[in-house]
Amino acid sequence: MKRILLMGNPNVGKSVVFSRLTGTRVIVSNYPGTTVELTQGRLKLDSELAEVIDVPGAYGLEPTSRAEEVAIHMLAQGDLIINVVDATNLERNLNLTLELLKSGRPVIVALNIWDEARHKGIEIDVAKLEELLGVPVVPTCALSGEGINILMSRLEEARASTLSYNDHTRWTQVGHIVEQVQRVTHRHPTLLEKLADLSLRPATGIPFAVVVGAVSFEVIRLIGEGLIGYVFEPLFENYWAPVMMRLSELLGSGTLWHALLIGRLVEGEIDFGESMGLLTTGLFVPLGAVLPYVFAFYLVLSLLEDVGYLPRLSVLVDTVMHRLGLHGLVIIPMLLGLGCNVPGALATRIFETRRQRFVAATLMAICVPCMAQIAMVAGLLGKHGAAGLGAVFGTLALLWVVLALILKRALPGEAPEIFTEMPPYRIPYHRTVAQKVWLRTLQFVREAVPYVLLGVLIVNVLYSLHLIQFLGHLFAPVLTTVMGLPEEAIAALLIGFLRKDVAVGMLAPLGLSLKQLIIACVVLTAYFPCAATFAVLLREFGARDMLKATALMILVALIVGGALNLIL
Amino acid sequence: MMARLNAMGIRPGVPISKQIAQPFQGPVTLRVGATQLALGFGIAQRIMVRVGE
Repeated sequence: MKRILLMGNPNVGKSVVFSRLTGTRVIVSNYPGTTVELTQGRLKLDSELAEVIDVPGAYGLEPTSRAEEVAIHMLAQGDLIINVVDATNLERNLNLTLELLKSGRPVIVALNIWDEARHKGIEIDVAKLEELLGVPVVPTCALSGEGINILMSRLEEARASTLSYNDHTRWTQVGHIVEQVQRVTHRHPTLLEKLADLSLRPATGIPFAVVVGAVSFEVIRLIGEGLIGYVFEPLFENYWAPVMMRLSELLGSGTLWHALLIGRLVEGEIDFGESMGLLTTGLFVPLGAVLPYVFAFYLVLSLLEDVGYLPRLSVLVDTVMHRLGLHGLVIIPMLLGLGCNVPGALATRIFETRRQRFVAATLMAICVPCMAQIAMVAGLLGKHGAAGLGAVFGTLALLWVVLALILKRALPGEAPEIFTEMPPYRIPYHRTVAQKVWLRTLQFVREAVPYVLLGVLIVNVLYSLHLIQFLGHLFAPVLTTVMGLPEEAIAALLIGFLRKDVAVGMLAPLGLSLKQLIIACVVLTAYFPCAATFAVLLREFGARDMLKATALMILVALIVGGALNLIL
Repeated sequence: MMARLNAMGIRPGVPISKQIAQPFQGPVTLRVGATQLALGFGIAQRIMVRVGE
């Protein structure tokens, strides 16, 4: 099967073109480095089926990050290259185009973001460009789909270019080409450009960031609480509970099936939070309690991503992050990690060095709770007011900073500096945002529901085998003496290896004091990542590094748990 | 690093304009051609320029 590669600079819309060509839905955003893995799709060419690969972006053919390494490695394995070029930034993009042409592989150029280029007063003579490059050039606007049909129909015209140049004079060559094909009319800065400038200047940018943060938080809380209070809880209470009660009567309490499916009744009623049956708590936790927050979070994050705000926020926090041995872009894996630690761990691939990737991933795994966990913590601590939540998240934030400083000392290597492109601000395209939120929410449901069900099942099995009690006694010295938690909390810590949301949920029936709840929530975040995250980390960093990270996690959890027990 | 700067379009003889510098030796934002870049202070410091108009 023919293999088609989509290659180009970062943030030029390769993934949008990919999505258009193959019908595969992928996540696209407005910042460099969204795609860090190879994504494959299929495309029907005439009667032949071809494989299309969405390759992470690269500025040149000398790799500077793990993602670029992947891209350059792929070049040797492609039969045809669709070089996606940002028409608003022709000169820099053509530098890579010329490098790709030299590879001798058949190339076709998609001159993307064509509409925005026109708005910016950039005119490009496509016929002339085609003649100079010696390969087909098709103007496209992948977001709206314009030009994609023509690109498809001209794929077979892709050919190896006869253009020859000396590597040292590549830029001169690019300059000549741009001079001949591009005309730029001057125009005044737009409102979006002014806003971009404003959000980057320290005097206005920092207050702006605070406002963005506060508004995001409020919107997530409002949507999350609103959906739970007005939609999901009523649905479960009014429609699902009666069905479950009927089933409960049918099964008869005390039977094995009743224990597994319904769990135990609290005062003769089903308590979706505490019953611990597969069909009660097992469904309510992921769908009723967590899903609304996950949806709200991804909606806000997706909007911020597509506007192009994240790289600017990175620059604002860079000064501080640099002192901590990191650089500003570290907030991107952290923010993604707040949604789910798995994509957060993958996003560390945008970093230049292995050390940086490891530090960022470790910090995230220890200190960044995922939205599923946050939603459960909010449900558990919310009734105690803001103080409890503040203590949990404040401790985790402080821990992040302290750990970053310790890791900076412990792992030798220079603090890398930020080096990133600032994408222009764009009005988010509603379809992209909707699709992204849908994809991420769906991913959550697919991942969460089976794991939560498995978690609930394991809890039941462990309880019925009296293993929980046994392990509780075994770990009592640590659990009770050091952290001040009751022995039963061991069950939550065990399930936390699998799923953090169920684990937090299991704290509810224990009747813990506020102090114990705070300690338990912090320890549950820090002591180990969930199974899905651990699997990704293991794949990314190998067993040796993960052994070190695991030792650090357990140590940190013990120290912080113990310290909180003393202080609070 | 030279290769990286070069791939971004920062190379001898090309006009670049510094736009916003974050305080306390924070990153510097600059424009080269149609690209807006943020560079760490250390990198930015090592880029030699001849002041134009």
